[in-house]
Amino acid sequence: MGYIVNVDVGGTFMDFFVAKGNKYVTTKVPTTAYELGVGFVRGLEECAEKDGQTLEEFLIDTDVIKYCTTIGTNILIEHTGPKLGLITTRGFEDTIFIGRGRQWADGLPASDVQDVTSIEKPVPLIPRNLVVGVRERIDYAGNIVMPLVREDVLEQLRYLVDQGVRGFVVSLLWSFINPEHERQIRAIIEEEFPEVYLGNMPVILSSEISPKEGEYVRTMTAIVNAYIHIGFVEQISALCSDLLDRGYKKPLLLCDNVGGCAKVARTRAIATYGASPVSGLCGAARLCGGIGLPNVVFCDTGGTSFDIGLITDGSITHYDLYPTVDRWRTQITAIKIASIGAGGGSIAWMNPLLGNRLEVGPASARSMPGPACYDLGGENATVTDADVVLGYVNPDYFLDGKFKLNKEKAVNALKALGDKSGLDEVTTAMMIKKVVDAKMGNEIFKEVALKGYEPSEFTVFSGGGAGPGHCCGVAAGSEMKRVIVPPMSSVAGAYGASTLDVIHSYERSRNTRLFDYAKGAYFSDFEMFNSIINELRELAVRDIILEGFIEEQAAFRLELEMRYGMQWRYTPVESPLLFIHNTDDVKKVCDRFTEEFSRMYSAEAAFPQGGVEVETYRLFVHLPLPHFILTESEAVGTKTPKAALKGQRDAYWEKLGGFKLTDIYQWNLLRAGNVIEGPAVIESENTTVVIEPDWTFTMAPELYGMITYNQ
Amino acid sequence: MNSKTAFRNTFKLLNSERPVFVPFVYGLAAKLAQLPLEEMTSDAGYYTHSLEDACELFKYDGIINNFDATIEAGLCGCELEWPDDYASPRVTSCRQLEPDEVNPEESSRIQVLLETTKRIAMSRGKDVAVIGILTGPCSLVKTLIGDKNNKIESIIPQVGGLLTKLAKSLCELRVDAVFFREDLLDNGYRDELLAHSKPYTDIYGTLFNLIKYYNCSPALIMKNIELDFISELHGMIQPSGLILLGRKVSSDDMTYLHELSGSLKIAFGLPLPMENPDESESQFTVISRFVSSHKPTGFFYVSEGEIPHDMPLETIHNLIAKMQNA
Repeated sequence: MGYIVNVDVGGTFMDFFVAKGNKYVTTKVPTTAYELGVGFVRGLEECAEKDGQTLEEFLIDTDVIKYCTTIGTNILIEHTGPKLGLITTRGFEDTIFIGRGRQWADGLPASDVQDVTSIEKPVPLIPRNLVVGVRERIDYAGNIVMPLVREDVLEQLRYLVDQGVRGFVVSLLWSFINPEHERQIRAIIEEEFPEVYLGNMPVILSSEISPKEGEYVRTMTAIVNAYIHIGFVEQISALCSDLLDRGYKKPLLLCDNVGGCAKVARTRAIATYGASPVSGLCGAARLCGGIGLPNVVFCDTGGTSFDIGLITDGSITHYDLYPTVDRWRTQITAIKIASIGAGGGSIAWMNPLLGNRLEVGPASARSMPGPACYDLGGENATVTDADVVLGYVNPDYFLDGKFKLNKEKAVNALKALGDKSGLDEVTTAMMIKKVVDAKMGNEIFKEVALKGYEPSEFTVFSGGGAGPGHCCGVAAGSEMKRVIVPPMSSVAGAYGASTLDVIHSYERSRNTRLFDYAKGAYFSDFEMFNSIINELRELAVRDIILEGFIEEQAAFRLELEMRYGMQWRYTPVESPLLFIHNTDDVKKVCDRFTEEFSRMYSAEAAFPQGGVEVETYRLFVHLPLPHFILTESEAVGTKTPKAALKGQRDAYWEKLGGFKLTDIYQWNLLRAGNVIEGPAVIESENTTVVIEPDWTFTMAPELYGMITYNQ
Repeated sequence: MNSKTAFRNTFKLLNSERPVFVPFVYGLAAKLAQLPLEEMTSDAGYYTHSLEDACELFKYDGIINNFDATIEAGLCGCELEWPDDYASPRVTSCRQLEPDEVNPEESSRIQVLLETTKRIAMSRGKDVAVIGILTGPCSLVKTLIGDKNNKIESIIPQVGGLLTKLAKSLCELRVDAVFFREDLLDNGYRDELLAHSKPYTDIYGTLFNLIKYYNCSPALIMKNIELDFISELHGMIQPSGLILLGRKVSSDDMTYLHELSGSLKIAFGLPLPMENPDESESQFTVISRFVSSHKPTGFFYVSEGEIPHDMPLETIHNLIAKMQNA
């Protein structure tokens, strides 16, 4: 068995988790936002070196590379996508500019949304002068009311080309019911700009990217996908070529936001958005499932953002059907992740509007210039600077000592900030820690409690480089009393990628009334229902074969977006059956919906009088890959971990009244059964675990740490 | 392995092939293009073509984007004069602006230099190394304040801020290395550095961290420096490379440098005094003998300062041919 390489790109660090059999190595390197491939190769070199190999030897012996990338995110943030033209139904050219509801607030942090006087709509990805309408109309049932006129399309097309567009997005009314006109437009474009010519331009059809109702979100989904598509292809191609040159001849799998991965050639660019925290969540679910923890809040505290995902009853059931990508509401189906701007790189600042109250984030120093202590030219005080000054993070052992931190610069930055309110650097640092811990804890509490769960029944999964350093404070802020710190916590996203299987999803909108309350009748056009599933299944089988699998290896799962008649929102429900053949099967699907709806909103909220409808059919195909599994350690230690004690240093504990000489332990010298009472600090090669007073750390047989609050 | 990879590997101490050669070609490039240096450096098109053509002609391994210590000084308000068609300008007087008030984006010389570097990195950057040069902090501080030492404590951090901005701009263009010229102080560099070691080491620390973040290598160009200062210097500022101008190396020196290279993980640029073919020949012989017997992985050749623009091209061709055949 060769190496399984998993790479996760964050805003500040790129994480690597490389497994071979039941052994693994991890590393972190600063995110090279100027060219992700540079950091990618640098991380691979470090992993190879840790296993005593050259990069070339390492890559030859690698079976698969899984990659959670932020290429798409960077293109959207930097607005470096290509000039695109949008072709839509005439009369609807302004749809994307009018937006939907509070479109201006989509993707903004809560603090910005409250500041309505200075809020601005985002700069459109396609300006108004590059949106054209063509004469055509298809009605709600898919009937062609007004046929497409070729000359009209050509005229609009030439106008767009004269404006210098490099790609086309086509989104027509009701194309998800009948995509005929969209396909005709693509055929016309391909005739005009055949592939043999350099002028060939990509054409993205909304009916292929997002065949679901919702004019605005469908169009935006297609636009966002097209916007990141070209840059994505360029960067991924360059990386693939570089890896090929260095001897890697196996596929590069891209992780996506439904908890799967697929070959580059079978991945839609937009599906990679937000893949990193989703991978981490999937990894947490697998790890916690193996050790019997059913209810877990996955937290990934990186340098830039704090991401939260829920695992309830051992599984991930919360999906976001309209995720916001950058500032754009889309309708790709993605696993629900809540995210706020808080992490090690979050910048602390004094809010003059609130009497110089100290706030942390959402702005981040990211990897360049980074926190002041990184000594890359950054001067703003950040959470990491506070952690250094408080004695939690060892400036000489950050990232295994390969990244020396400059404590003096951290002190200077905190002094400069504190001077605005007459505070010294230590008080300022402590306030930063308290503010960020409370902010993260509060976010967890909201995420859990507002979904109807009891926070105290949950365990915090502490992931990300800055996670274990703040886990006790965050858990206290969210009213939770248990924290799990896995050995690969600092590279949670990369570890999560290692647990992903190949998954594809295919969806199609078609309103189907399964139960008509007025007539007391169940749906009977089984053939229509099954034909949609077969259609999606054919697409799935095509992709499976192109990925090098055979159909027999695949497992299919059907998810339906359902609602009671007259309701606005849909509820995603896993169908108990893939095909339906009789009324009993239909009843089973309806019963599953009632069950799921009642669980979410209470049985009293069920409304069968409205009838039961399916709006969207979503078929998942799942192909298993080999995974790394955490196994029990044979070496068992005594309760007191004397061998792991590496020294003492002053660390600040508010409960104890200031700086106290604190025991410092080395993570990799801890053994199963070791118990450490707080206050204490555990240093590992990629993170620091801070055990606050009143908390106790216990090393489990599988060598993960469990931190519990002393009752 | 192409020249770029060999150059990069030199700084990782992994270059097992011949030592690469990165000469300081500046006025010579203008001469070859038959353009006065002032005119060449005021137009990114001329500048790019001249540097590329010179590299194409002599087939050396890295293009250095300038060899002009007045760029940063000019940015800070010093007045310059261009002595003749192909010589670098000189600072005539320092009507000094505060370095932290200077905006490099408003300087046409800087903008042309950056644009040229960008174009070279795009057109030749896959095959040959592209190297940016900045005046080092000690040299720039000395140029700006002369002997007015009472201002030194305040100006050092400002110079650091300015150089940080310039280094970041260069690194974003994907250069392979940034060299800092401290040769202007000759053997006075050591005293200057040690006299204000704390603020200077802070600046070097930030600059080198920044450059390494961009996957580039930071190196110092020094002149007439004692070899026994290298360990101390490395302990203070940890550069990835040192270029030892003014040094006539012996085989003992080579052995010592080889040991230092391995123990400190540092590359050394060894100068060839091109204007004097005999000396150059003898220096090359000493180095190449050592290289063929010890296979060091962290040595590279540079010219002893800028290659004179009036030097016979034949001499340059001959020397480069020898290096490539060694």
